[in-house]
Amino acid sequence: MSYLVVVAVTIVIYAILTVGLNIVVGYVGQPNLAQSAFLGLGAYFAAVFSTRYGVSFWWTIPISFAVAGVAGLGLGAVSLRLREDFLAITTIGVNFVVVAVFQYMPFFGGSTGIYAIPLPAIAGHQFANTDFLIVGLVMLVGVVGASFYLQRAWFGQSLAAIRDDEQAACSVGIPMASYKVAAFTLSAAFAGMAGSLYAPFLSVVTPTSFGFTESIVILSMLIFGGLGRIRGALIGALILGALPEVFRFISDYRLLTFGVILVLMLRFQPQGLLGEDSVMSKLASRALTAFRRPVPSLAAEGALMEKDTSSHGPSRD
Amino acid sequence: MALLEIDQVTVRFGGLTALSDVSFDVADGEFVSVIGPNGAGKTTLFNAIAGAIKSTSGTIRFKGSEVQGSKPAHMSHVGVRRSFQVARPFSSMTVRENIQVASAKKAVLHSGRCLGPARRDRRTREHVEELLGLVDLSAWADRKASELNIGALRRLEIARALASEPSLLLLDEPAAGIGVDGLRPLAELIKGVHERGLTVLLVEHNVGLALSLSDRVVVLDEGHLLALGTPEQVRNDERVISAYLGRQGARQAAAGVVKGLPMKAEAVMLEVDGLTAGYGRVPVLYGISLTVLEGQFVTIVGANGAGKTTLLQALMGLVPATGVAVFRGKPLLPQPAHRRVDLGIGYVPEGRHVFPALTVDENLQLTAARRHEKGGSGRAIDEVYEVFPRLGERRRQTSRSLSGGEQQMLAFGRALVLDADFLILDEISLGLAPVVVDRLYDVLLEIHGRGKTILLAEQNARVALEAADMVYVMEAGRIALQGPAAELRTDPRIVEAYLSSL
Repeated sequence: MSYLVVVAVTIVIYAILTVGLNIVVGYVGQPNLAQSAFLGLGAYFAAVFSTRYGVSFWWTIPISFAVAGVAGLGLGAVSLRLREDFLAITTIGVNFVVVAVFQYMPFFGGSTGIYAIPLPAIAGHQFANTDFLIVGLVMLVGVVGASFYLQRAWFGQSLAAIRDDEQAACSVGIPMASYKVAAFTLSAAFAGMAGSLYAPFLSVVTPTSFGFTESIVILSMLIFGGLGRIRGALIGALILGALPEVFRFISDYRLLTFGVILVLMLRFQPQGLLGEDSVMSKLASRALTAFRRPVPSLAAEGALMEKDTSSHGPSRD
Repeated sequence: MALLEIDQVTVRFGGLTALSDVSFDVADGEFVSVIGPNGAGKTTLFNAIAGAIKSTSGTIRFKGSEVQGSKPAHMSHVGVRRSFQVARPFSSMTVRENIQVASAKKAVLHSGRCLGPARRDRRTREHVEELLGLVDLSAWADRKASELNIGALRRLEIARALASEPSLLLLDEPAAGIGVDGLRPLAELIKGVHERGLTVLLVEHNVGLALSLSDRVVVLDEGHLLALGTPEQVRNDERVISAYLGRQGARQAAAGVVKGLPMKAEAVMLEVDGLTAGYGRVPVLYGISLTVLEGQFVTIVGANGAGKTTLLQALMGLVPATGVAVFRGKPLLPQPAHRRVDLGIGYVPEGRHVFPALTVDENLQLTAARRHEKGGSGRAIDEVYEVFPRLGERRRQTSRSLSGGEQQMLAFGRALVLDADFLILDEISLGLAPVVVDRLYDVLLEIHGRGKTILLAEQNARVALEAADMVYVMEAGRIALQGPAAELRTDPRIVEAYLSSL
């Protein structure tokens, strides 16, 4: 039972990270390979403040949220000057820099990290694993709720417009720069918040836990589940988070397995498991439409493009 | 007071002056078109107004306040909305969402209200539905924009631009990629939009469309304001006609060479029938048919965007095409591009496309390796240096360091070392000084005199008419007119084809 709870908390932390990452990668279409660095910033600040200054767990949540958010704001500002591949490489660099800072700055405890992070307490009662799970789920619900709400707001619609075509988005008055920065800030802040849970849950933070490979794992989960969709981010974290626990032998080859899954997924189902137009979501919508009235075909009426001419030519731009 | 005032606007890119000292006004409620040949500066002017590029000097005033150097988003908020030459829909969003997201006002986007739900406001919803109806897309409102064809995308862009109720609508070649059938409904839509009281500034290659819709027309040529007046004045302006049909006197000497040549017309070299091609969803060619006889000099003329380059690329296998193309009795279309070269077709692409990191010598050697008849590649390269001594002087330089004219010579030379019997050349005069153009045409006529067959696409109609045996006039992806050059030279329909194509 307790073991299952531990796995569940891990999955919930991953889910917060993927749902947060989805705001930058899914909604605005910007690459970000530094999500674990933001998790690390949140975790390290929670660890430092709780061990060294005796700050309570409840106060470390907003601290971690804010610190990672500020770092995300910095990365967002950088993202305005870079595009696609170059931005991706820069985010990788950012992750390495953050890990190096943890490793070499005495403030963060050096390469051994920070130990004996106290368990949070509520009304004198020390946290058990189930309490971590409850707090984690509350955080996840908050993050999912915020994502869901933002996607339907003017802000989220504008992010989608920026993702689809930056020039066109600017031409209809969308403040691209500030919206991109806001998306990076929020995405990183959510990861930082997950960090405030991570530190007392594991009671130890070490620099290597927040490396670049961990960022790849988080991105893999999102792509596996379906980029741009909250349900995709959740299912990706759930399946890929649980996989190494369900099949023990996988845990030794975790990165290898994830790598192979990612390659196969991108080759055969780039939309992800539950992404738009994926096999799974098509099956689901077919099942749903069977109950609704049939939709008439519009292709014959002349406003839609002919499929056969479109599939061969070079891309539009 | 004029709504938009363009005052002595100049735009330079490095050493190139794209727009030079252009001034004109657009009154409130007016419909003004900007026309001009390729490279005239139309798009530069358009982008300077829309805020996409910064003008080097001069002032642009909108509603009395200076706006030069403003960002596109700012221009959108002050009431200037634009469409794009290459359609730019938000392709993952539905048609309705495309219009809806564009309807957000500055007060919403720049405040906490941007966190409010986009769908709740009833007035916005009604406004979006009305626009959907206006552009005839109501039935497709819930379809993804990526599913629309080019005509529907053009209408969507107009609706998207109108969503914030702008006071000035900038339309960037809305007719590009639209077939003849789609032109009239599009013209009706634009006219309807203008009649709602909107001021329109239209940039258009389709001169007929521009002249038929406008109150006033601005004609640009090589970055300068060539003419400004009513459509009637512009249509009869000598300078405008000559800008579209090419400058006089440049190729007189070259013409003399060709007149003495006998027309060898025995065997068919290339037979094209019903050739259709396009880029993705944009059809560019609609069933082209033409014949090139052995030893002939055939020219394809037509305004920019008529489909000349696409036709040549389709013949070379660089753009997927359907239909029939037979070269010396062999079907051409199933062959990949490099095999077509082996069949004996030399190709000089538009925009040179030399290999920048290789030296002049290496560029030529690389191509000589594919010679139609093997052996003697060294002599063939030497011959190129004889024809273009400039290249010989620079044979050890990387082609990146060559001037534009020298690069064009190299691209030409690359086709020559193949010793192909059939040469396809695309706009070899583009962006070059008259002296260089003359040299290139001298060489072209000389090798034609040696019995080579030539298929040349040329925007400069005068050159084409002087040098060629046969001329095909292309318009909106179709052959509009064809005949011996000697006949077409005096044909009033040539003028018609260039100045009216609706």
